[in-house]
Amino acid sequence: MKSSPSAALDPELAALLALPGISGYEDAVRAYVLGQLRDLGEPRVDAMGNVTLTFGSGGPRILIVAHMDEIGLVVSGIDPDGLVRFEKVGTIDDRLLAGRHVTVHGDRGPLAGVVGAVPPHHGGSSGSGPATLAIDLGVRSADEARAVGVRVLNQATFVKHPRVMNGTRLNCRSIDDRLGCALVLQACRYASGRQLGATLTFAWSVQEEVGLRGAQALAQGPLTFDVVIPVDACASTDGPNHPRRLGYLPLGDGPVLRMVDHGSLGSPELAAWLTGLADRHGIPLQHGVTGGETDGVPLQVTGAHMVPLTIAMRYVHSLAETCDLRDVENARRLLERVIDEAATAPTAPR
Amino acid sequence: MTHPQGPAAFPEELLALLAIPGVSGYERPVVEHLRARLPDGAEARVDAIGNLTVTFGAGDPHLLLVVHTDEVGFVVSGVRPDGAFYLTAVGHWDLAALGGSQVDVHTAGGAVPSVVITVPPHLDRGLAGPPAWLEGDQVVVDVGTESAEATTALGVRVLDSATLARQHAALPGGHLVARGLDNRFGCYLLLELARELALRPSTAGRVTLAWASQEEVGFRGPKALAHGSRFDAVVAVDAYPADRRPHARLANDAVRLGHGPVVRGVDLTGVGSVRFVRGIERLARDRGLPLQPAYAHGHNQASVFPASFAAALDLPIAYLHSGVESLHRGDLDALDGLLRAIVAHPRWEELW
Repeated sequence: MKSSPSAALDPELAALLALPGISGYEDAVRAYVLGQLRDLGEPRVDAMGNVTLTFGSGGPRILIVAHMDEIGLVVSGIDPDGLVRFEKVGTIDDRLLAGRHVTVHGDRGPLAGVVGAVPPHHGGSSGSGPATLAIDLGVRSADEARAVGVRVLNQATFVKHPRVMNGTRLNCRSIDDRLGCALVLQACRYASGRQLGATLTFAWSVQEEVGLRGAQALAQGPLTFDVVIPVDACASTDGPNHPRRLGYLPLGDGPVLRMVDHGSLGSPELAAWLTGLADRHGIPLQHGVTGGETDGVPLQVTGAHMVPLTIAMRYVHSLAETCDLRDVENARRLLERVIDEAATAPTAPR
Repeated sequence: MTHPQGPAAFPEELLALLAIPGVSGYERPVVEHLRARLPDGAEARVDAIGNLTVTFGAGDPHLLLVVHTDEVGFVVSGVRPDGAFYLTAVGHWDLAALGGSQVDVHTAGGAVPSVVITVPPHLDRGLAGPPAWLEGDQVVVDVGTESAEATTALGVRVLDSATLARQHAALPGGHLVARGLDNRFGCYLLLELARELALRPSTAGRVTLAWASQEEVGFRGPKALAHGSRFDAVVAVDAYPADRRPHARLANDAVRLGHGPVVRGVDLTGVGSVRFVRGIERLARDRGLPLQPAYAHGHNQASVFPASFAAALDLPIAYLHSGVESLHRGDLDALDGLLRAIVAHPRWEELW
């Protein structure tokens, strides 16, 4: 292989990508995050499972947040012949389901399985969804499935293989948003022990992919914020055969201030401040319009300035989500400048 | 990443064969791998189309056992100005199910990682309309470049072969899963048989083992074999498209994984030698080996040997021609036993 599967891949990102955690089942990711925060402070976990850790006091109250959950499948039933029925969790194109390797996270541990595919000799699986597809574990009865630990409501994740194309283009399932989790962890470590002219909260949220539910809980307090910066993916249309009407954000041209999406309009004041930081420090930055929503939607309407800092990504919500590692590095640099100059961030009327 | 159960249930020799790309017409690395592992003293021959053959014993009758070395895959058909490239399918694929697949392009300098494009559901066209990754029957692939020059610099050239990225798993219920099981399991079984024949030659006559090329694109290798030689009987060992869910058509529903190999008497290519099929059934019964007789809504390479007693002896494979082809380890072992029983039979004529 010319580009080794994990070449240039940050070990922390590799570790986060490997963890299972569909919406509502973020436990393994949360455990990893809490493990990393152990020596940095006293993180708080709310009833939904959101993790927060705050440094400093006074000055602008800034939240930097990424979501721990990924899209995936949940076991909805077991047929008499042992085939496992599933439902999708998060938005997944039905055409990307058949013929994929999955892991069912059973009561006794992970189980290798496949989503079956109708052979092309028999018409293929085109357009088939959960109503006709099933996860095959190779067992022949519902009793056998239960014996190996399968239960209704087990989560199932797509098997992930991080690979780097052409030196900088990482592709893997769940880059959205384990990449954000890694960036927020790195920013949190950077802020730890520094003199801050602001109150900085770092958060790892749950259930973003099913309606921003973790962020809705964060928005209800007790913490309040002047500035909210979700760190997330940004669906880009710079790939081959993409409609250019929306989201033309070339990979490698810098992280993206996601100013307009289906759920929010970014704060001009915050965008100007972030753009100024990037300009002064020579960090490439793009301003974008795309589809979808981020955790910033419910948090913005608490009265905060909000702009998502995002990574342009091709093929979002597929097994081959692709980003450019140079954009990741530039996002990391910009987050450090945010921390360094947090005292100058915009504030909201109190 | 390794799948949770790991490859423990895979025979190592089969895993090694699965690791070698060999799209139809590009089977040479598979042939070289097999040739290097044949027993000492075996006189192997590779013909112009790439069929590997080795013969044990002398005299008549002359029995041929044939598998194929090629797998379904793709060939690079064009590099676009934006750096993406097109793949043309080699063999039968469900192209509409390939979006977001990781692909290896097999260049002169080694495998280059790439992905079949998709459009995210966040954007228009994401969930509606025809698959964005298809232009007619051409699959659009991204290799992480922005120009044809950059793609060429990675070594990607028109006519390079490509395969879905390798991934294998052993499922809890005894299934082995990988792309290319069709027909690397056959290559593996015949290699084991060659070793057996080197130790214990047949007393019934002469047996030729053949690893044929280009089966997936019209039995071209088997046709070349049939053209140059005369065999009294032929056993073609291949995959049988069995489904775990009865969404299959016709009589395939009757075949199940884990119930033994399949002897195929009749399929779209015609009626095989019923006497030979019945003889194999008797042998399996005598040896206590499971066997499923079946009609198949397909074709098989035994049909290109009309002058011989011919039978197709297949392994049920679920999800055929996808990245998750699945076989049952028990079926594989039973087929291994049946092939060994056939070549060890003292009077082959009694089988046909």
